[in-house]
Amino acid sequence: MLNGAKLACEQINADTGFGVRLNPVERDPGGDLNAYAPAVEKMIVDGVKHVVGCYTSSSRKEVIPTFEKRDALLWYPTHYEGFESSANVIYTGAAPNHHMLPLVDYVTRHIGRRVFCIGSNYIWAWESNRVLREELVLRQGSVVGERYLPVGETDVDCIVQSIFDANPDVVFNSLIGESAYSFFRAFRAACQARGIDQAKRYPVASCNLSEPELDRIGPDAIDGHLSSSVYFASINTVENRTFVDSYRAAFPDEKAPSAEAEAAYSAMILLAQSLRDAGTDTLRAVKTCAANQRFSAPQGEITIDPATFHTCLTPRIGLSRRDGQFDVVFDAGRPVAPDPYLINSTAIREAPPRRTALRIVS
Amino acid sequence: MRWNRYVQNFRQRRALVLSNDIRATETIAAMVTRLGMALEQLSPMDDELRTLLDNADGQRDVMFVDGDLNLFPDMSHGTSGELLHIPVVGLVGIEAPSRLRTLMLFGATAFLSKPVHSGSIFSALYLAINTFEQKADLRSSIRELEHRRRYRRHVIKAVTMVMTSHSLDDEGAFALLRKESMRARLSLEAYCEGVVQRSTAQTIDDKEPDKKQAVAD
Repeated sequence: MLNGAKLACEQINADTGFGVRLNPVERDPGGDLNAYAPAVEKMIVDGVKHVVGCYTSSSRKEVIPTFEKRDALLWYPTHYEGFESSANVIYTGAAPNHHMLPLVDYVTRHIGRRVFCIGSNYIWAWESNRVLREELVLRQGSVVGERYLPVGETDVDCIVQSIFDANPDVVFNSLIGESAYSFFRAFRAACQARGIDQAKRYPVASCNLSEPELDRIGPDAIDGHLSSSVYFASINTVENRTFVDSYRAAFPDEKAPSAEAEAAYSAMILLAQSLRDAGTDTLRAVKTCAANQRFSAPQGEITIDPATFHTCLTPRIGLSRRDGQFDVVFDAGRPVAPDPYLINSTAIREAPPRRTALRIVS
Repeated sequence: MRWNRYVQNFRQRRALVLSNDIRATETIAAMVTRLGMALEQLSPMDDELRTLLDNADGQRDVMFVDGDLNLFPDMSHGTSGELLHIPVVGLVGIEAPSRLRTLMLFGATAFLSKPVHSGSIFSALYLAINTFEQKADLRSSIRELEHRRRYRRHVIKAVTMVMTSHSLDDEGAFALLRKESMRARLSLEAYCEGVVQRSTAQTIDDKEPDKKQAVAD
């Protein structure tokens, strides 16, 4: 994410005709939740009005009160679980209807309707699995099992065993970080030991799997995983090839930009365009100019929706390859409007419980 | 007890906002529009307010009422039961018990403190609408139970009648009545009422009471 934002800053500052120069200030709370609010407070006191950043939802929740109190603007580039719309945040990452709905559609159409859910034990996985269950019920599918691991836990054998016991059509993964990498390796190895072709028999679908993470899984279990995202480095457009080339030139150690890098890059450009149009850095003026702001991003045309201050993005589904890239197997073809509260897709009432309501009487 | 499933999506509902606090109204208007709801701003001075509230539909409408408006002051004392039959979110400025009480009388099942923070509106709506539905469910199940309680004496009468006519003990008589009521697709209470009524009618007509026939009908 930092790399993407830096690249955008450099490009804007190198473009003398753009009309705005950005002066980037970096802070890294290093994932320590308690450090986020003080870091933002310090930045704002030092004169910063706009911040691009935050990866986890918990860190965003930590800093939002500070932004609201100090009247600054957070440009949040990560895909997230939705159900939020702070007046001091511009959400340039994917809303749940961008990643979850296309994935459920794809899986039920091409793979099967019996899904096993695994996830890290926190809000992202709970909410993702809830939305998944609702969407599956609408498409006559079912969740045949659900298991959670503490964040960072790498002992995944019990999960692997319960997947074999439940025998689903597909595994839906919202594990994060090391837990996810361990799971992919252990699951592939367990399938091989049983003579099963894991990618064919039990494909794993995720909404949070990008190219750098494939590298972390390692070569033995890198291929055949489904990922829903608005960006893959392998997207074959002129804009994207230019972006990938300049990214590799700027950061020679990195193989390919991730979806997060692309999102931070686009967020920074949208911020710069809004600042240029506003001619000032005050919140109200910039926010007014941010509404309907457009940009031909590496993923395609993106627009900020003035009603929700979320962004119209193009959903895609990728299938991972041996070389650590994705083949795009589904492409929505055009930007889709954000729906952070899922008002256009979920049922009015929650899904019925799995217990049956009838009982036998004598 | 069967509970309704929770409402989680408020699309196609209508938000009625009764407040003269412009900031609160603006915040609520922006948020409910994002949630896919229609918006209607009401004025406390409006003569048609009463009619509109009487015609409101609990399945469609939800109301935001400002506790700082001195609404229907004559009604805030001595009335029992709630004034509105739709879900209500109370907007709380002055936290005096009398103001909170008025909001409760309006049927508020959720509060939003002023100045209204847009981040708490979704939770307030969720609580107001689902608590409203739970209350309605509870009321209807209490009505149902009261109804059954009133019919209890018919059940006792019918059981004793069948005990004598069929030479059964109470368990056997009850089981027979339950089976026959199921066959007649009636509740046990309604069926027993029929049995008792038929038997009394026959007694008045001074005919030989054929209780077997009454049960088998």
